[in-house]
Amino acid sequence: MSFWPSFFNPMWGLLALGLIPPLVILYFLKLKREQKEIPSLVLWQQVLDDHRVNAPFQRFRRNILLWLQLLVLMLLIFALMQPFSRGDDDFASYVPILIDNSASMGASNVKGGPTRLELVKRRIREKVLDDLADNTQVCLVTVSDKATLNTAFTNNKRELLRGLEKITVKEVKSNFEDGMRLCKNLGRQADFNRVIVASDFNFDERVKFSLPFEISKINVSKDVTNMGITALNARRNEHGMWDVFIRVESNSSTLMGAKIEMTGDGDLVSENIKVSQENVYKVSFKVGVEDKAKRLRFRIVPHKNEFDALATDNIAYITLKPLRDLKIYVSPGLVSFQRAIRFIKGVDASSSDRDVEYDLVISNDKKDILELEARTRLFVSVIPDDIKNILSMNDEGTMVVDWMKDSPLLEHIVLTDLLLGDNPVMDESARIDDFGDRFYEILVDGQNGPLVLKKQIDDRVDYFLMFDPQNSDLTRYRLAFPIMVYNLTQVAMGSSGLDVVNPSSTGVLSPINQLANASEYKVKFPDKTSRVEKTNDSGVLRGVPADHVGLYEISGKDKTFTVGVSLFDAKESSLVSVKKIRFKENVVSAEDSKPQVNQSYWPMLALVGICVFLTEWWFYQRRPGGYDAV
Amino acid sequence: MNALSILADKKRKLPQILSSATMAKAERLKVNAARRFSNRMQGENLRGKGGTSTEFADYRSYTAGDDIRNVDWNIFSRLRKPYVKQFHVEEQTQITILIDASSSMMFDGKFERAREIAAAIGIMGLFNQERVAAFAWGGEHGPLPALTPCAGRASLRKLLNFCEGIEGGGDLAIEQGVEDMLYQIKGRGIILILSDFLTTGELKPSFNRLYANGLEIMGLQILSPEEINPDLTGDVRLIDCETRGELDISSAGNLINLYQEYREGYAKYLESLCRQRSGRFMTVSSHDTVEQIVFEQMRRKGWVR
Repeated sequence: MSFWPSFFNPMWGLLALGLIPPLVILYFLKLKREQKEIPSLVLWQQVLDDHRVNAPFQRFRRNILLWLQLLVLMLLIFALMQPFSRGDDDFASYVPILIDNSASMGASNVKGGPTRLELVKRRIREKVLDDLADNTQVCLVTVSDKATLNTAFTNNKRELLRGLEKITVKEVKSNFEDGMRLCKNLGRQADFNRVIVASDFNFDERVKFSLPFEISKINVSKDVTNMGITALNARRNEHGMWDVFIRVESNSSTLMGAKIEMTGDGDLVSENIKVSQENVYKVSFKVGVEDKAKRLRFRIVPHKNEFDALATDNIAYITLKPLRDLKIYVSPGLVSFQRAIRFIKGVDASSSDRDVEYDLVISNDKKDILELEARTRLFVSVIPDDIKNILSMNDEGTMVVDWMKDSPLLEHIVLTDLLLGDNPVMDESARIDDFGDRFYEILVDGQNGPLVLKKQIDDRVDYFLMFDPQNSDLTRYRLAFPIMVYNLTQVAMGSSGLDVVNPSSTGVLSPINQLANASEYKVKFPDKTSRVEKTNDSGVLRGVPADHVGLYEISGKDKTFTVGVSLFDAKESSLVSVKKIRFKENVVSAEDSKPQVNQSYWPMLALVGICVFLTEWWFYQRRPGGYDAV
Repeated sequence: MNALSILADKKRKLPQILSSATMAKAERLKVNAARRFSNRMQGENLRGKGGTSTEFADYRSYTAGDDIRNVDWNIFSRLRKPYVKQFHVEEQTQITILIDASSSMMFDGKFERAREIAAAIGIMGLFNQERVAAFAWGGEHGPLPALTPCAGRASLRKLLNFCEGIEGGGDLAIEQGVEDMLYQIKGRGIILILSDFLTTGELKPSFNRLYANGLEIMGLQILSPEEINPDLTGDVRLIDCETRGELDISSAGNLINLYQEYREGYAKYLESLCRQRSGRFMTVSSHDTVEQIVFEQMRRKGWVR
């Protein structure tokens, strides 16, 4: 809170009220003149006459008390009239303030000092809100990973101050563009030419946004040192273990000393490290997970003499599952797939047992679309019901026209001159967009219609081959087929968490699978708040906000578990501020521009009035300054 | 025979307006007149040449008709020219004491001090064969309470009784008091005015009349410490104890220095009025004792010796 006396600061308001009784008492004391009997008024009358006649501005001084009281009255009247001065010329009556509350705003510019967000709040309070003229309406917009309207346009300072106090740091990366877009949309409600941006300007220099207004900047950035965990993941190695990789970076030009601790299953392992801009700490180590999932917690403890501006990037979590073979179901008729899978390590293929829970299903039976559940499925020569009216099949043969080379399924594959016996034909009235409307993505396009389609709903991926590989030269003369099958198994491993583990980062929790369908789960956040979320019909819990680093406890009727969330954002950890913001059409300096809004002067006038009143009282009640007594 | 023995003889108790020590000191002093304002009566004050006292004054050439008894024959025998010896005149001086008994003097011991000083000066006169008269003004316009001119040590009781019996109060101005007194007094001499001289009237005509009546003016202004050094602050309503008039003063602290200048200027004006008429003027504090005023301050200024 500001220490400057303000009527919006309740403490100062109470203190000001406390001044009233003494002022009233003093006023009445002043009114009652002390009566003093003296031998004669002769000398005093002459003194008074002489004083009045000879004094400069004697007319004024004769009634100086009256003039002073008139001055007090005028000051109070002026205060009641609420005069204000115009700030920047471009400022209209509406002023949006965009406040960055991303992770970097939680950094401190000095050791043990306030965070950047607290600095921003203080400056907005002192420079904008405290003396805000009543004809100016302000709205507060916060931007972290997304923009949020904190308060609508209002001149209610109490409401604005309350809204400002409620703003907290979200430990997520900044999405400045979103904030700019929201401000642009606010222009539909109110007419303004300038937006105040309060930030440390730790975001990308290039902003894909055409600036329709001027911006004034409140820049709280400062060159400070920071270190943090910027990457953490795990990959399955060929020995059936996890290769855990961690990277620690620092923005310091000199080496910063710290201790990195790893905790898992109650064991603590630590190591002293030194990192700088040039010397990034990267290490990979093997972790075996036997029968149940293991959660690892990494923490950086900077040495006492080091200043680490941001604490939230010092902690990271990763959960490793026990490793097992990929379970694959292959329809009995798909011999070519069975042969290709036989040479892939780490898979367990079956063509008979349909009751097992599989990671990958490869089928040429349309019924399996409904009967066999798996996170990854591939159907051969099956046209799903939802596109059968726009796609049909004949045996005239076709060739590949184009394919998506960056699709995980088609990596390292060349389909040029591939001859196909089957010919999927798109209905004449159909368009490519019709597939998109039905959530299908065309991976391979043929002469008359799509040859390979992909459909992803939630975390389940279905591939549809609109041709039989055995009825093409794909399986006879080319390496493309086994590579495609290998790619398919890798996709399935990734979907099942058997290949790579990427821990959750702040923003939104990664979808959580295998929960009860359409059930409520209570999510307890690291800041001790909680809310109830509901899974969808597939038993997937998604869209849970993760604004803070820490452990999220999810509890339902069937199970309770925790999910670790970390920052993992090198940009936020670097605390580097941009010098210029490059919008689409212009470049704006990010330097602090000390915005001036219309400022109200009535608190100052009221204060001056009280000061004049007290001075007047002192002046007329003071004791003589001293003289040489006769 | 001193004053105490006179009192003892008569076995009557005198008013204790002055202490015995003060009275004893006063009888050894006399009022020192600056000019010859004689009423032609025989007394103890040496005046100009041509008197019949034994105090030699000067020589002059003999002229026809001079009493040859006054020729200095020793000079004649040496110079062969007759010279006549001249002697000082011993005359009686009248001391008139005019006491301000108005309400303004009833303040912080001013009136009491005036009575004491009047008594002390009167004793000096009586014990030096001077005629002493005293008047007090303060009440209504008209004949003033007076001590008729008297002389000799036997009049001491009369003097002290008068001084003790004066009643204070009233708002008669000093110029009116002087006017009333002049109707009642005869003879030349010294007039000692004991007052605070705080009047809105014009003193110059009154002083002129005193001077014209052959009176040497000795003005003694008696002020209280509160008048000499006022202790006023803030907003004050001053009330005149004589007229009950009111005067509102704001920021009195600022006016103190101006008041001091004005009071000193007024004292200088009164002093100049007196000096222009061969008189003297002095300001004393009512908190000073009569011994300090008469035996120190007046003596240092040559008023008494």
